[in-house]
Formats: sequence, structure tokens, C-alpha cells
Amino acid sequence: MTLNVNHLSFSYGSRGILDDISFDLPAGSLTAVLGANGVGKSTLFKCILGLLTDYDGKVTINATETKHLPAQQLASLAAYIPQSHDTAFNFGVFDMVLMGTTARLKGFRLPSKEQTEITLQALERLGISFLKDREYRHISGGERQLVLIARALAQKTNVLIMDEPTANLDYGNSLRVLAQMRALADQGYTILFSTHSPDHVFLYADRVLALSDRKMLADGLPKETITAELIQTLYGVNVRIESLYDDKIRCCIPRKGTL
Amino acid sequence: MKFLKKEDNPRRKIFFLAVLALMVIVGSFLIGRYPLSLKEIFGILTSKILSVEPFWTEQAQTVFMNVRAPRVLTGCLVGCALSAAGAAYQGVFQNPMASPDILGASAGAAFGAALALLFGADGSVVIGAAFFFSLLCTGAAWLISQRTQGRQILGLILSGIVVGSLFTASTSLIKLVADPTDQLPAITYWLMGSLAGSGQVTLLFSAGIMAVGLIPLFLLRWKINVLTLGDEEAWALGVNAKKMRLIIVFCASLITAAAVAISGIIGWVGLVVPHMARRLVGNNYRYLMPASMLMGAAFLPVVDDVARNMLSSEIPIGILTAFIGAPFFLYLITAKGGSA
Repeated sequence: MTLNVNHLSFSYGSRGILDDISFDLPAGSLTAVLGANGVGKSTLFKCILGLLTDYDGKVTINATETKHLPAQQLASLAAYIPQSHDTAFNFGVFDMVLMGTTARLKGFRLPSKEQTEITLQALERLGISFLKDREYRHISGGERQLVLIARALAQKTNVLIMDEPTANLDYGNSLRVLAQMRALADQGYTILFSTHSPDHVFLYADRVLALSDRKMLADGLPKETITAELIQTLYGVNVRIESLYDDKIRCCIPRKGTL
Repeated sequence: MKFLKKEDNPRRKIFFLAVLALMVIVGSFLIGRYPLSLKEIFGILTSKILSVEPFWTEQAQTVFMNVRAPRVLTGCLVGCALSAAGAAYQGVFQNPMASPDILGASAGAAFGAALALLFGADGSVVIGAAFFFSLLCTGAAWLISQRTQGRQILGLILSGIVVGSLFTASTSLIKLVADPTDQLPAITYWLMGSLAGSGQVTLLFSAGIMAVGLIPLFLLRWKINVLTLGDEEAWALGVNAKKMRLIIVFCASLITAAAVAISGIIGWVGLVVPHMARRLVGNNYRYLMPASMLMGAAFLPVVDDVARNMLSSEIPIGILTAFIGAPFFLYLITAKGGSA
């Protein structure tokens, strides 16, 4: 298994956040995490990425336990893709992606030809080579998200952790980013992402993890796992799950008068 | 390949800045109340290595070796240090408005110098006291910030402001009790900043300390890029932000302390020069750091040339940098295509 989380529990002081979370992600899978705001999705990601280390349980990536690894080694195992954001300084898109190669630069070394090549390939792979001479602040939110994904690819890891990759993106950009994530998973990347849209999970994900009240409420194929009851428990809203085109696509429709 | 051109350009610009800094140094050697010629300077310099029959006066040699050269080179170093520290602080605090005195380095130095002057000390004691209290002030700000809740950077900036203002208040207290006939003017004059006290000893002192700080800042400049993205992102990219920031802040504080200790409070350089450099080479610290260093090394000697030659009596350089820096900064932040 590429990413393995084993009996992970975490609390801030006496306030429990995560309780006994376990899952295994194989290579080449796209897994979504569903759960209400504040349920601990980000905390889970921080534990996996080593930003929080005082948890109980075990996280292994490519058979390496990550808890006490230094930043540089962790960054060679898993890449983190934040929500598309603003930066304190305006960097060029190329430089932004080039920063992904930092983890593999030893000591005082600067990125050189090899890293330039990796960066150009990452941009190419996401089909955004045309952005390389633009400035990060001057491109759209959707383009920024793709740039951040390219930066993760330049990090040369096979595990990608994405925090609400479609937050703040318009309808078209959301779908374009998700399609890229699907394509990367098909190429062998292991992707774990959080989302607030069950419809996106139906459309793109192989698997869904549902977090509720600190615990893993459900874990399985989206079609089998996301039910009206699950949505009711997770978000407290009443929906109908509709099946379209011989069950090729499913989507959630809110019921009238229950919101 | 358009990209290669873009990669090449900053290097060419940095080379140009290096040539400019060199020209400024040589030019500043010539200018002064006692004018020296290029030939004389060349002769004096070569006589240090080879035996040359002196064709210059004894006075010219003394002026150059003991006054002019130390002063110009000190100006270079101070400009270089303040600009590098400013650029570094801006990066690690993720804030384009950060300047070298953000952690109270200047306030601490001012207190140290004032205290030394109050006790009748002069020369190297004043420098030593200013250096020590500058480091003490930034060190205290750092230690206090380790105990603040919430975002570390905010805690650091706030404790810098608080510690700095305590030292500033203490300086005011010293001015209040200082002898108004000689001590008070000395303190006031020191606070306005000047390179007039530069000599061979102070030059060596500052060069040694600044090398200790400037070299790591130069070598770690790529990591500063990653730090500007925030602690969590930096960590995920393989840089331990807390550790790296400690190293960068320590180096920047060290060179700032050395700079203000020998020159007094020279404001604006550490804020304006990095911004000029950002305009020229962009925000990538790979180029921004050397560009800031070279630009600072060229900028301050020029201002000092004006300070020591414009009027019959010398103008404190801190006043000039403010008069030049403040309007120039206004231009930078209002002009189109601002990089901040």
C-alpha cells in the first residue's frame, strides 16, 4: 500500500479531533474525504504530512513511517497541494513550480539544469506550459491550482495530498482540475483530497472516506457509500440520490422544504 | 527559447550592478575635501604589494589609507548589510514592508550607544555597546515570541515592536539625564547616523562580523523563496520553516547589529534598496539577494559622498537616506507595475 494510516487518533488538549482512523490507499487511486466543516479533514492531512506529530497511531508512506521524519525526507515521499492562494510576493509561474524541486536539493545547492527540465516536464504534463512566463498573481484561480499541482509533480513523489482543490474555483475550473486529478491517478499517482461536493466524488473518485464526529463513518466505493442517510448524517440535510444514464452518473438533489 | 533569455537577464543585471558598485567605490575614493587622483590611489595600493617609488605626498597616503578608503568601504559594507538584511526579513516575515529594524535592532543599538556615551565612553566602546544591545534587543524579541500564542511571525513582529519601544524609551531617559553641553549632542548626533567614525579598525570589525552573516544569507537564498510561502507549505516542500527562519533571522540580525553599531541609525536603506532590486530582477531571491547586496553597496557610498561634500560641514547620512528614501519609496509604491 502506498499510503497507510493505522489507528490514528489526535486531540488538541482534551478536545478529541480524530479517533481511531485507519485506511489504506493503493497506488493509482483517487480518494475523496467528505465531512462537515471542522470535522478534522485538515487535521488528518496535517498528521499525514508530519505538520502535526503528537498523534497516536501510525502513518506510513511507501513503507516508511513518517512521524519523525525531517521535512526534507517527508517532502520526498508526499506532496501537499494547498488551496489556490495569494502569495506575499509575486513569483513567476516557472519559479513557483521550480520550488517543488527544493526537497531534493542537498545543502546549499540551487536548482540547475536538471531541475529546470523537471519543471518544464511538470508544466507540460498538466498542459500549462503556456503559463510559464506569466506571473503567479496575474493568472486565474483555476490556473493557480494547476500550477500548484505542477509544483507537486516537480516534487517527484507519488503521493499527493490536496486540501479542497476546487474551493474558490468556478464551475468550469473545478471540473478541469478534477479531470487532471483523475488523469494523474490513472497514471499511477495516489491522491487523497478533501471536498464538500458529493457530486464531484461520484464523478471522479475511486473511493470515499466519510468523517463524522471524529470517527470514520464510512469507507468504500462512492456509489455504495454515499447514500441519502450518509449525507443526512454528515451534513444534516435531506437529499435524494439520483441515478442517471443507466447508473453511469449519480448526483445529489436536495429535497424541497427540508433545508 | 524565450525562457532562457529570461533566465539570463537577471544574471546580466547582477553583473551590471557589480560593475556599478565597483565604479562607485573608485569614484568615491577620488571625491572629498582632499581630492585624490586615480593615479595616486593606484600607486598607493600597488605600493602595499610591490615597492613603488612614492610620487604622492605623505598626506595623500594618510588621507587615503586611514580616512577615505575605510570610510567608503565601510559605507559599502553597511549598505550591503542593511539591504541584504532588509530583503531577508521581508522574505521570512512574508511582508514586503519589513525592514532591518523590525525586531528592534536599531532601537537596541541606539540604547547601547547612548548608554556608553552617557558614561563618557567613545570610539570602540560605543560601537561595542551598540552592537551588544542591538543583538540583545533582537534576541529578547525572539525569545519572547517563542512564548506567544498563535502565528509565530505575528508574535515575532509584535514582540519586536514592544521590545524596541522599551529600548527607545530607555534611550529617551538617558537623553533626559545626559549632560546637555556635550553628552546630549553626541547622543543626538550618533542617532542621526554617520560614517565619519570609520577607520581601519572599525572596517575590519564590521567586515568580519558581516561575512559571518552575509555568506549564509547568500547561500540560503533559494530557501528564502520557499519560506515566503508560509510555514506549512514550506514544510511540505521540504524546508523546516522554524529552523530556517531562525538561521536567516540570526544572520540578518547579526549584520544589522554590526552595521548600526558602526554607522548609527541609517534608516530607509534596508527597505528601499530591496524594493529597487525587486523592480530590477523580480522577487526570486536567487537573484534578489545578490542584487540587493550589490545595490546597497553602491547606494550608500553615493549618499555618503553627498553627505560629506555637499555642505561645508558634514550632513548626518541618516537624514539624507530618509530624504532620498522616503520620496523614492512613495514613487515605488505608487508607480505602475508595483512589485510589492
